[in-house]
Amino acid sequence: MTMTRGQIGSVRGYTIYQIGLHWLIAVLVFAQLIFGESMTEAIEAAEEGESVSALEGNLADMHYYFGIAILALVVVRLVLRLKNGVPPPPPETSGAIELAGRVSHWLFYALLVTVPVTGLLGFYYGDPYGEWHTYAKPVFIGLIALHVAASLYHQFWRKDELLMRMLKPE
Amino acid sequence: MSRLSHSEIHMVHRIGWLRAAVLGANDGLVSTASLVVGVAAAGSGRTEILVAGLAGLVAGAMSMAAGEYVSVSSQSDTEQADLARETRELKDTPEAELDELTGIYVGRGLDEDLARQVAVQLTQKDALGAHARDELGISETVTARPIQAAVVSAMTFAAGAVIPLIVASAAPAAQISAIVAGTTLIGLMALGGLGASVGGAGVVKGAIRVTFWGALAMAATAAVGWVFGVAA
Repeated sequence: MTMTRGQIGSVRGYTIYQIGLHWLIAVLVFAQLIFGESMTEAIEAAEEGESVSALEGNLADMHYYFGIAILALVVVRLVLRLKNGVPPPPPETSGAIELAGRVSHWLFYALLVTVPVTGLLGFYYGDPYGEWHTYAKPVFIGLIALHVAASLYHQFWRKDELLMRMLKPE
Repeated sequence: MSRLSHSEIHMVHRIGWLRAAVLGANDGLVSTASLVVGVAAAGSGRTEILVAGLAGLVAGAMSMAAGEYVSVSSQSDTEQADLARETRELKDTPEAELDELTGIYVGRGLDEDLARQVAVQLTQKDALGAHARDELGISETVTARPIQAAVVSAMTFAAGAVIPLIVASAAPAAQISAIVAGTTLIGLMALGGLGASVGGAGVVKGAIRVTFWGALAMAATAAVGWVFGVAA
């Protein structure tokens, strides 16, 4: 029963929980990307035995907790995805485009799990996890740019209302 | 016939929405990039620049939402009041209202008899609709939705504003101003071109116009940051 609902083609849109989680995680990820350097600063200062400003310290704390929050939320999101499924690609989507969409979405999930995990490992055990964690930033920015460009292309060039699926619940 | 006119109205509606989105993103991009460039020019560190930029994003998005909410709801209030008055007039003085409608069609070029005939027939079908459309200029599809307008404005502003913040967070610390300014100008060209092409205007002209004002805004805040940064 759950499986048939989970299969592509059996649902018309995202639920309000899926939409809410998408945007909440998006906001948290933006905050992580923007203020992530504060964690680097704080760790480097700690290694040198120096201290950072209160602002920098608070932002580093925020980076730590936001990362844990993202990891927890993405687990909920994956569970919802397996339970509720996702709407099918818009009609007349070519095989290549559909594949690109699927690959990039699963790449997002992979990053949303591995980046917080390497961050936590780096925080407690240092390199190489910490170093791996810092590579995530350009990859994330590139993938987000692709994701945004693709959604705008669908919404405004193809005019298939794809963007609206992530704004209006099923 | 009704299908065709409906899809045309729908189109206009969507283009209006897209133009609003482009303008919102444009505002967010220019104001946040200017803020970042100004704070960077004052010699602040990356973290201070980013905090100022994020505060600017939130302030701008909230102010856009508030402004849009107030503007759309007051427009809606005015429309409701106009419609209420029109309903009353149609009930109290139907003859005068018929004359008024006839006068409007005469003004648009129909002769007296035909205008009267049109007015009578439209009044029979939907008197309030005819007056709303031709006397007040209110059509059903443009019914105001203030909350939706507020949320869309805030989101499009934030979408534009996040670009300079991401760039500032990724750029080498010494070159934040230059890289943010450069990427912002490229973004403005794209948005200006998109906005113009959506509105059916010349793409190059639209891009140049938006880019010019963006460059001016960043130059002005950079000057402020530089003057006060040196003074401080």
